[in-house]
Amino acid sequence: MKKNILGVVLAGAVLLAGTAFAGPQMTFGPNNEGTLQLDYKGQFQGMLRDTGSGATKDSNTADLNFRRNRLALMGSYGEIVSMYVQTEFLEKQNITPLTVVDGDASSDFSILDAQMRFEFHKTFNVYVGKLKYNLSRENLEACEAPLTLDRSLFVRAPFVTTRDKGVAVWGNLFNDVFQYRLDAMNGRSASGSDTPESNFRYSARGHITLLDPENSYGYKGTYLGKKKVLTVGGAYQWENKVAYSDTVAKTGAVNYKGWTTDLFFEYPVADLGTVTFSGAYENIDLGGAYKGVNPDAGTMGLTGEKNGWYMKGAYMLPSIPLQIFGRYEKWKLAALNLNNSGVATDTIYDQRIDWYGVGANYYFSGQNMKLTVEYAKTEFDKKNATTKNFGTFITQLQMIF
Amino acid sequence: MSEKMIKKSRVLIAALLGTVMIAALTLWGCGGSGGTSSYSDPTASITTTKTASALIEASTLKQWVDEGKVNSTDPANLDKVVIVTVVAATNYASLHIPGSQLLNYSTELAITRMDGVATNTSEVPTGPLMDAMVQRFGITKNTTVVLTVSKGQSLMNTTRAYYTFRYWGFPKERLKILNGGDDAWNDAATAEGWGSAYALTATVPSIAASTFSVRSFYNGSTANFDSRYSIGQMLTLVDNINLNNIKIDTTGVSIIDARGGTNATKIQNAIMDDYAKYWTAATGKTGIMNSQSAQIAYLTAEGVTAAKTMNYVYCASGHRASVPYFVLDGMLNWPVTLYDGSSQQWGSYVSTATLNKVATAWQTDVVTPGTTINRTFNISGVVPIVAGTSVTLDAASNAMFTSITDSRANQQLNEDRAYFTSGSAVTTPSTGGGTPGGC
Repeated sequence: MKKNILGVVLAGAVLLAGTAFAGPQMTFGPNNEGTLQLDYKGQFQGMLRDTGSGATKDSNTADLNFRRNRLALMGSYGEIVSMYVQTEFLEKQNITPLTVVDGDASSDFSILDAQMRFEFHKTFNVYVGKLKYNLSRENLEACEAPLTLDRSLFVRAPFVTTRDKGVAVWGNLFNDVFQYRLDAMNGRSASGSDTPESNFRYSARGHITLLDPENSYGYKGTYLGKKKVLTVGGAYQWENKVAYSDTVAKTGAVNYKGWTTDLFFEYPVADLGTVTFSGAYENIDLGGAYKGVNPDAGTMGLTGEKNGWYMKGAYMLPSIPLQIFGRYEKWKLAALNLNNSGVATDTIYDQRIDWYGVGANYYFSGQNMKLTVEYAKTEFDKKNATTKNFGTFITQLQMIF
Repeated sequence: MSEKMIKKSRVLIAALLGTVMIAALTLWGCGGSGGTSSYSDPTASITTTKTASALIEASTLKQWVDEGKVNSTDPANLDKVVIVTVVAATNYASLHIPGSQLLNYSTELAITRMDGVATNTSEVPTGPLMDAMVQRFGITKNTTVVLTVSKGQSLMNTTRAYYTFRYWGFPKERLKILNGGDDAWNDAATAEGWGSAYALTATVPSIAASTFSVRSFYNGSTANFDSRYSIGQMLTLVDNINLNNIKIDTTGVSIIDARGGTNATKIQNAIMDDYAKYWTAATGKTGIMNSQSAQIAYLTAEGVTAAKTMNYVYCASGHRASVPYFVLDGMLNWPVTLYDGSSQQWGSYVSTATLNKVATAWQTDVVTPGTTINRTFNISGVVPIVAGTSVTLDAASNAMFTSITDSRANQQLNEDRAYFTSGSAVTTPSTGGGTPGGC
């Protein structure tokens, strides 16, 4: 009887796997050379963390919330010109990567992407507007197609989110084996007297991609066994005079320099399934501003001065769309303070974090409909009243429509 | 080159590059301390007040005064020094070292708290009381505290304060005792002609309170509370020694009775000691601590050496015992724990008490179960043992806690540990745990 139930579930899953979703698309122009498509992208999560609630903050915290909740408008006119606009609407989340805060009190609507794209030739493309900057592969990977439940929690650059406003030039050379990317972005927005100077942030990134090429602006965390990929990349990013080490005396202006190397490998083998491996190292240097008398808060913490690496691996079964994955991250943060109230003396210097998680993706319909579960442990080398090890269990349903 | 050849070449290069990258990542992951670069703690290198032991001379304190460290409000000078005079208010009001502040020995270092099945009248201050004290002094996490006493007062006042600060998590390198107190300061100032700016004064300094909390010392460990033993822990220790589960030989533990003078009883297995033997005092003046080598010789003669795994000190009320506590912890760096209830509590938990009589399990003048050895040694031989009067029985606890190992009966540890680990309440900008961010 149990076998029959399992058979029905699997049969249903396989049937669903054949279904394809696509957002409404319209064409326009004298010769229908214009297209416009509207997509919805949602990731709804149930999260359980074994800390964060109760009088001593040691009780479990449960949260149901959107991780991503987006409308995307994509259009093109002819061969060269296209656009991409994406909105995001999120209610404040209780459970953040390293802390638990009061949630639902506010919401946040934003234009996540707003890009004017000019694809003149495969060797020369220009993107203008609000888009992902060209540092880490991880940040450039599509968030709807990560290998694990989400991407690394630690790779983000300082003083910006995952996007920035600016101009990017990129292209593929040598039969798509080499890809270059150059961008000039806003970097840290000049915020009154907090910023020493208002300078642009520049990035240069390149990769060598072998087997089946990765030749788009965005990467994916997995191609679900549809491609054989080996890509090795590296990037450098910098912005001068980005912050003060003494924000009171307005002294000790520091430069920002970040660099990374990364590797992605995916290889499907007939009847055996698909293996995927990905890893990267990243170093964010903010001139040691955290050691200052009154350092800029942005030079510390999760997006401040740090260095570390991650490794991810997965195996996708050949017969059913189930992918089992694991991820390990090891980071050193120059300074971290997890007191939600912000207590200077709770700052821990040279904090080392080990993050490891395991889980599985079940693809009902490729990335258009998938269910993911993941359990992760976050461990701190140094602890205090507000810095304690914790575990997080997340179930996520993703739909792209 | 044919399409097939190009593909084959790519596979070969792919394998090569993949091997190199995996090897590189492995090296990052496994090499050294995790393979990633380390960062320095800017607060770790600012301790310019490090000394060989926690006992300092007047000349050292003068140097810190001259360097502008005392009560410094310069935000760039994180290495601040606060001088605390541990005496009665009248002594402080009369004369003190310029810039020093009063810690009222009579009212602030010993309070009545629950321990075991009764209250005791001489216990450490609670966390909120301690926080109020350190904030009044303007103490921050990077402050070195120098403890002293008014002319002619006992150096024991400073050792009791030292124990209290250690109990609440202050690192050893941030606590100093001025050897000889204000007398030594005054004598040095006179002999060396320091000038009027260094003369003892009645002027009370105006200090801006800090927002520091002892809770900020919590770093995942509450080992600081191991510096104190409760009545339940002390009874368990004595029982274990009587049962031969814990040794008191050269590499075992010692129990040191620091009361001095003539005593009718002592805790079984205790070494009879005298707190006043650790210093030399001229008539009318505060004692000068004996040298480190002299302290070692004195303790060795008692059978206490560096080989001991732990030394448990007690006296009448936990104050005199703080003298050997300081010598062992601050001067010699030997292990030490202070039984805070001391003989006033031990002597009140007796079977002969008529008022506040504790349950049998908690009685100190009975034989250890399973042995014929009494928990108390009757020195005078006079019976019955006269019960002390420093405790007030809590009937509910006396009925509920039927075992001396019941962790609930260590109320101070439970209360203080909960406070210590509860996080600070002072607000300044956080460096953040991050938000999930976009895509």
